[in-house]
Order: sequence, then C-alpha cells, then structure tokens
Amino acid sequence: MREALSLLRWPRTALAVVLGAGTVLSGAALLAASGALITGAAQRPSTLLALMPLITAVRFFGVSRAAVRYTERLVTHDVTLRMVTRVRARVLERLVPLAPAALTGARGGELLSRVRADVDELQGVVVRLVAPAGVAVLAGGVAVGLTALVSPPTAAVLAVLLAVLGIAVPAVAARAGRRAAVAVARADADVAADTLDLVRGLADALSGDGGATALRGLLGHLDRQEAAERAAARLTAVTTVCREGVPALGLGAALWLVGSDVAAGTTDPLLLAACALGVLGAFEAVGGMGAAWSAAGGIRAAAGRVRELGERRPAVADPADPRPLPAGSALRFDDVTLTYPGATRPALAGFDLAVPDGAKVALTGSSGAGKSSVLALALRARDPDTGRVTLGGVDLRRLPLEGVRSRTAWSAQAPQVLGGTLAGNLRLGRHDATDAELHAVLADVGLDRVAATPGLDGWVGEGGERLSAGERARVGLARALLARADVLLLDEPTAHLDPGLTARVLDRLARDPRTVLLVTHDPAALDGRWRVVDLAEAGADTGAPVSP
Amino acid sequence: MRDRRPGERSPTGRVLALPGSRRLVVVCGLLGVGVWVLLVVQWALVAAVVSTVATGGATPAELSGTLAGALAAWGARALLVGVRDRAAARTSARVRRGLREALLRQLLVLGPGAVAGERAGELVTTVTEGVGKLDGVVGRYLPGVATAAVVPPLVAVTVLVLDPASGGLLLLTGPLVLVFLWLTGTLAARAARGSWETLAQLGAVLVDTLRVLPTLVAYGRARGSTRWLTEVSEAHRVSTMRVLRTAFLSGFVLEFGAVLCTALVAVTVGVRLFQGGMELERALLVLLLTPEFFAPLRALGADRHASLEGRPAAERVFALLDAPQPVRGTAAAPAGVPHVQLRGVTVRHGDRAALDGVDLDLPPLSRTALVGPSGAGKTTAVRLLLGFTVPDAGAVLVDGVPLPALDPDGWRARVAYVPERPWLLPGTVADNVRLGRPGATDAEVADALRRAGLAGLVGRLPQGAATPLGEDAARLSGGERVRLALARAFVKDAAVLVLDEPTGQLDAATEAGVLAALDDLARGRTVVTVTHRTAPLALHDRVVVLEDGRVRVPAVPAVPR
Repeated sequence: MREALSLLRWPRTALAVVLGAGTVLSGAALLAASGALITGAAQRPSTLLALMPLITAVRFFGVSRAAVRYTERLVTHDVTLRMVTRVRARVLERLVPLAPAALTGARGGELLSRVRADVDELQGVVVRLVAPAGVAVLAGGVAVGLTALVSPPTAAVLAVLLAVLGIAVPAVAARAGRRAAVAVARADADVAADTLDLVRGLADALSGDGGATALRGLLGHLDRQEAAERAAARLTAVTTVCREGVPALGLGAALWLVGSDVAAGTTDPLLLAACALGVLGAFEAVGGMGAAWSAAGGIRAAAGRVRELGERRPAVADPADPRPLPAGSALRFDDVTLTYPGATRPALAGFDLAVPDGAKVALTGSSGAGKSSVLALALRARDPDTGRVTLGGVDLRRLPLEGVRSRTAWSAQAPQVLGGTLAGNLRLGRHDATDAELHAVLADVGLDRVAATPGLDGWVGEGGERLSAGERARVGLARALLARADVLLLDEPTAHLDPGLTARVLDRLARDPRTVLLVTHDPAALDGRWRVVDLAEAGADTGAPVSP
Repeated sequence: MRDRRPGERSPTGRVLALPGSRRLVVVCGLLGVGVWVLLVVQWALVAAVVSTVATGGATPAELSGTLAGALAAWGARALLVGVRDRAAARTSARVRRGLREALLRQLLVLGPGAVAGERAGELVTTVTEGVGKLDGVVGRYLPGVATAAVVPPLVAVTVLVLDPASGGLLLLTGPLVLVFLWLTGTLAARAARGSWETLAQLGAVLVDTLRVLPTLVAYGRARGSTRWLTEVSEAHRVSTMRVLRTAFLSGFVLEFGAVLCTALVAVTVGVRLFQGGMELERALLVLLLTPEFFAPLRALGADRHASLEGRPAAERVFALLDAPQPVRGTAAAPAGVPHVQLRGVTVRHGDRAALDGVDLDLPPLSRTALVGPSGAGKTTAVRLLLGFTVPDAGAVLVDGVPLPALDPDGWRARVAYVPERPWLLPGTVADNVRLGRPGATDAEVADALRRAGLAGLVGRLPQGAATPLGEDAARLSGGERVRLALARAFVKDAAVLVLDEPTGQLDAATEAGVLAALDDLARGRTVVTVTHRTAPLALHDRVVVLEDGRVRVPAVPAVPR
C-alpha cells in the first residue's frame, strides 16, 4: 500500500478531498438551514429581516454545493490523469532492467498481462480509495463536530452510525462476500477460457461433432457463472438495505435527543429541524466507502506486485568497472550451463561453440534443445550459471551492457513490431537510416509490396496486426539487418516463409559480411555456406513412443 | 430477438427490450409506487413530530408512537430498495447468461470463417467482458429509469396537492432537469467518452511498449520510450482536462437546478409561513419531499453513465447476433467416398480475392497436396472443403451436388480435419478421440489410438485413455497432439481427409512417425493436404501449386512414390 501512496502528490490529493468534503457539507448545511428557516418562519418573528441570515444561508449553500462539486470533479480527474502518467512511468522504469529476460516466453506473457491489469488498478487509487476515505473522515468529522455543538449525545450517535456504515458494513460485506467474489471470478475465468478454447478450436470442434461437446461444457460453466452472480446479488441487496436504512436511526436519535432538549427548553426550537436534517445529510460522507473498501484489496495487491518488480534481481547487470569493448567480434561459448529459474533441468549443459568473425552458423535441434537460449546468452539477456561467453575474447560479464547490445542485433522468434509506422519500426535498428536504405533492406527480405502499400509511413496497426505473421517476421529481420552491429542473432527468421522466400532470405544472410547466428528448425534449406550445429535434443517433442 | 429489423432500435434499447428486462421494468415500477407511499408516510410522520415538538405541543416521549411509525416506514422503504437491487442483479445475470449462450450458438452456426485470425481475441472479449458490461444497462440503468419514471411524478403530484405553488415549481424545474440530464448524457458524455477512448488507446500504447520492451532494450531504446510514454500521457491529460471543463458544465447546471429548486422551495415556503399563509407541519412535509423529487433523477445521471459504457459492448454483441447465418442445406451426404470438385471457385476477403476462379478435381481415393506461398489461398481451400466458407462465385460439388445443399453436420461427419496444431478438449484422451464420433466404443477408441501410434503413450499414462489431459493438454508434445487428431480421424472413419500443415511444427524424426500413421489413415479415403514441408509430398499422387489465389499451370507432375 505504501507503494500506491508514494505515487500520490499530496497537495492536489488533499485539495480533492477538501472539495469532496465541501460538497457533502454544503448539501447537509443546505438541508439544515432550510429546516431552521421554516421553523423560524413558523415562529412568526416581528420582521422578515430576522430570517434574512437563514434565507441567505439557504441560497448560499444551494449555489456552493453545485460549484464545489464541479470543481471537485475537475480536480479528481486531473489528479487521476497525472496518476496515470506516473504509474506508467514507474512500471516501465522497473521493467527496463528486467527486460528482455523476464519478458520473453510464456512467463513473460503472463507478467505483461498482469502488469497491465496492475497499472489499471493503480491508476484509480485516488478516485476509488484515497478520495472516498478522506471525504468520509473529513466531512464525517466536521459534521459530528457541528452536531456536538448542539447536542453531544446526538453527535455520538452520528459518529457511531457513520462508523457502522463506513467501516463495519463494508468490512462485514467484504468478508461475507469473499467466497461469492471468488466463485464469480472463477466462473468468469472458466467461461473466458472455454470461450477462447472454442473460438480457437472452432474448426476442430465443428468438424468433430458439430460443436456439441464444447457447447455442453460451456453451458455448464454459464450456469455456474449465473449461480455465482445470484449469490453475490443477495449480499449486495443486504448492503443496500443497510445503506438505505441506517440513516433513519440517526434521524430518530436526533429527533428524540434534540427534541427532548427543546421540550425541556434548553435548546432553541430552530435547531430541532436543522439538526435532524443536517444529520441526514451527513450520511453522504460515507457514501463512497463501500466501493472504496472493495477496491482497497485489489489496489493493495497491485501495488505489492509493482513494488516486487522493483525488488527483483535483474538477470544481468552492468559490471562495476567495465572493460573497453574489444576490437574483434568473435563469439565463444566455453562449457556453458544455463538453467532457467524454476526449471528442473538445464536448458544448456556443457555447451561449447566458437563463432569466428563473419561466420555463418545455424543452430538446429528439437524444441526445448536450447537454441533460443544460445541467442539469449550471446545478447547477454541472461548470464550462464557456469562457463563463460566471450566477445572478442572478453567475458561478456566484464563488458558494458550497452556496448554488448550495440555489437549485436537480435530478432526474436515472434518479432516484436511496435504500433506505429513501418519506418519507425525499422529505424529502431538504425535511427538515422535514409528512406533509400530502408527500401533497399525491405527489398532484400522480399517486403517490396509492403514498402509500396502501406508504405514506409503507413501505420502497421497495434502490435503490427495489419501485417501477416510472415511479414512481421521479415520486419524484425530487416531491422536487424539495418543495425550497425557485428553479430546478427536471428531466431527462426524463416519460420513463416515459403521455400522460395526462405532460400532468398538465407542467401542474403549468407552473403552478409557480418557474423550470423540463426536458429532454424528446417536445416534442409541451408546450403554449404552454413555451418549447422545440432544441439543434442533434450526436449519433450521427440515423438519417442512411436516406431515409424 | 433476431426477427427485429436492424436499425429499428439502438443496441442498448434492444438489451432493454429483452423479455427479462421488460419484466424487471414492471417490477421496478411497482416497487417505485410502494417507495412513494412509504416516503409520504415517513416524512408526514417526521414533519408531525418536528412541528409538534418545535411548537412545544408535546415531548418526543409522548410522540414515541409516531416516531416509531416513521422509522418503521423508513425501514420498509429500505427493504423495498433492497428487493429492487436484488431483482435487478438477478435479472441482469439471467439476461447476460442468455446473451452469452445466444452468442456461442451463433459462433457455432457462423463457423471459423467468422472468427478468422486476429478477430478471435476480440470475439472472446465480446462474449466475456463485452456482455459483462451490459450489467450497467440491465442491472443499473434500467431500474434507475423505471424508478425515475414513477417516483418523481408521484412526489410532484403529492406536493402539488399539499402546496400548489411548490408543486408548480417542481413541475417547472423537473423537465428542465431532464433536458440537462439529456445534455449530460449526450453532448458532454460524447466528449468524455472520446477522452476515455483515448485513454484506452493510451492503455494500448503502454501494452504495446511493454510487449516490445525486449526489442527496445536490445536496441538500446528503452530510456527514450519511457520519456515518450510520459510525454504522450501528459499531452493526453492536458487535452482531456480541456474537454472535461466544458463536459462537466452540464452536470453542474443539473446539480445547480436541483439544489436551487430545493432552496427556492424552502425560501418561498418560509416567507409564506412568516406571512401566516401556511402551517408548519405542511410546510415541513413539502420541504422534506422536495429532495425526493430530484434524488432519482440525479441518480439517473450516474446510472446513465453506466449504460453509456455498455453501449459499445451492446453494439458488438448485436452485430454478431445479427450477422447473416449461412443457409443450412438438408440433403444427406453421400455414403461412399465422394467425387469432390471445385468449379471456377472465387472467394473474396474484402476487395482481395483469396481464390480466383479455381478449378480442382478431387476424384475418390485421390491424394492431393496443395502447396504455394503464404497468402496463396491454401487455407481458404481447406475452409471451402469443410463447408466453413461459401464461394462468392463458382461451386464446390460433392458427387455433383453443391456443398451448401448438403446438411452441414452430415457432411462434416464424412470429413476428418487435422490442422497444424489440433485443438484438444480439456477432458480425457478418450474424450478427445470420441470428438470424432461421440458413440465410439472403448475398443474402437483403443484401436484408433493404436493405429495413430499412441499405444505407447497411453500405456504410460496413469489411467490410460481415461487420463485427463489438463489445461491445453500441456503434457502432450506437438507430435502427440497431431497423432491424437489422427486418432480422432481413425475413429471417425471419414471418407475425405483434410490436412492443414499436419507436420508444420514437428522436427524431422517426429514428422516421419506422423507421416507413417498418416499413410495408414489415408487408405481408402480421399486426401487433401496443405503443406510447405517437403516430406509429406511423398504420400501424395499429385501436387497442386496455388499462387495468388490461382492454380499455377502447368501443374507440377506427379511426385514419384
């Protein structure tokens, strides 16, 4: 929770709280002043002038409530939008040192979707949590204080009832609703997973049994989802009854206690209606607490996870006193072992490989044999557990990270295309590349058609969705080709390409003067210019139980 | 709900017109009448207590009966509101369940053509989160509207009877408030919605940046992206605040009108009390009832916002439900191995022809490999054969009968389909095989598994074929998945076998094993295989090259077997 609060800028947040409390108090004051005015008028004072202060008060609070509310809405939105900026910047800052190691693979995808949800959650910390809680305390406190001036016992009752509605009811509801909330969340997740399954496997399901089996499973989950929601609805209804009913007790107490004082002659009759109506109005102070209470858990969990991001040890770090970059770019892997966190067996064990300057090396082997891990080590996305990786004869761990990455250009297996223009994506590789250079490299990888339409300045869609998978692969490849690097690290650059294009791309790479280290599952497409390294397969995908 | 002409009602209007929603309107209306009665009773008793005590008529202890009556009426009203909320939540759950089921059935009718590629995620979102957002429409907006339609008019009439002047004031400001409510909802909310849309786009920018972060880091661009993201967010904040300043104005006027009306009633009633034209108890009752006139209207402002959030979701839901359903044929599929022909088939995706006048003859027991560059129309050809896509021109003929004339379930029972990454049910191994033919016996399932080369695997599993595969069958390798799909095809005993890159993700050794099982499966059936690998070609007696949606001529000669 401290993480979430540290993102706040207190002066503005305090302003939002003060304005929120002002809105509530204006409303309560309007009711109280109206009540006093009417009772006062019924006493038929000698002149209307005696009522003028009350008439003015009624008019004033009538106008101020609307004005304060307007300002409050503006300030809260402004605070929230500033929060959005800060939350994003902080999350990005924390992720940069962890990338690329923590963000690739299935775990990476999981982390990303969680981070996205956490960011959404944290953005609402002012509107959903801090402001309602602050307003409850401030407006509730002022209302109790003002009531105490008239009748301390009534103020005590009001304080207790505000605590009941603001703390006890939400807390009990949250506790009682936990099981229902878990059931609803689980049912939602099941329905989502099943629906995704059905959509992805629609052709299989339909050609199997017309979708009957899949639909049957889904309908069962829909039933459970509805039942869970109905259970949650029961609890919501009980909360509603409390919210609507409890203020009656405050009104009753005010009428009884202040009324007795009035009857005893110790209190001005004017104050009876004023106090009773003011107490009623004060309950608006805790109106947002139910929602705030249920938001608190999610926000706290999200904040905890974001903080944990900052505490994670990055997979690689800059050395304390980096050596200057060596002249050559020969890569060597000496007896390298790499085990991923949480894995039961090493991805690479005792791996040796020498890649001289300008060599063309293809890594093959079944999935899980550690092909992508070799690239991750060369890029220094990860460090080996034992053994060492050297660039130009110097251990990568002794070199500055930026330096290693300026020497290498990497294209991931699912090449990462940024929402933006084609040129923008390519210039990630070399920021000062001319249009002519971009066109040339696009022609090299057979993307001439994309270069024509939508063109260099055409929008490639969110995540490059306007491009096909094969086109995205080649954008990643073109980017790597453009980079001023000595070593190209390419993960399955030809996976989505047809044989003709595969041959053309591989030929382009073989003619490139730079070192190329690529991963492929189709070694048949490689000619004599390539040195093929078969990583001893340790993977699961061997089809072992079969005798062909 | 689908027989209504599209465009006749707004999507949210259609959600509100569903039978469950209509019942809820009636329930909320009736409860509203009850709430009104209790409101009048409650405030009349409170006014009596206050006026009697304030004028020294009695002590509260002497009025305890009246006070208790007021509290009882209040409690009863709270209960009614609770009942309303519960009914709304239950109806909302039922309506959303119904819509989800209708959407899923529609997906099954529309087939994979409607859910191609990148749209899959969007469709899932529509069914799950999209329908979920309609809770704001059914669970909040609808009860809010029903209450606002019943309670304020009844309150206004009550006040009119008690004090015509105040009642007139309410009847005058009420419509004004409604006008501003409408303005808040449309003009201002449109601006606000625009701003939330850009916020969603900003969310997308963040996700995009995070996703690409490994590449950005690898190319040394991460610092710049942080700065860029901050600049984008800040620019968004400034422009949004400019919009909101005007957008919130109508909300301000709404609030202002409601509060000012209360103040006006208080002042005018007060002045008449002073002049002796009114008694205190009646004046108090008028004052207490006035906020109740505005309360449902103001609540409606917030509820309306919830309904606006549901509108885009409702649009997507009904767009999917309204999608034209393909005509289902009724003719029975031929019993033997049929002669399948594509005659001048053209399929367009938008303005691009995926297949352009393709002729393809698939005689019984023929084995045809379809090859060609990506985007050449191979997958479209597969969809055509499975009956998931209907040609825009030309025809797919099965023993001379156009495919759309056949009963689709009957035809699919004659066709087995093995994709690159077969979809597996979360159930057991046997469940997955039985997807091919639900009535298959255990012996038939075991035989199919053996012929697909899975006997060894099944033997090693703790409960054999009855072992659950778990989430996405994580314990199976790519080769085993394909073999399981082959077992599905074995048990189905289909006449036509359609294979889409069956070995696309497998290494050479696994591929050889799968191809051996495939050769066995292919006996006595017509086979069509899409592939860009070379090894599967040997199983076929001819290779057809597709290029830019056309069959390349001259065709490549038969592959030596």
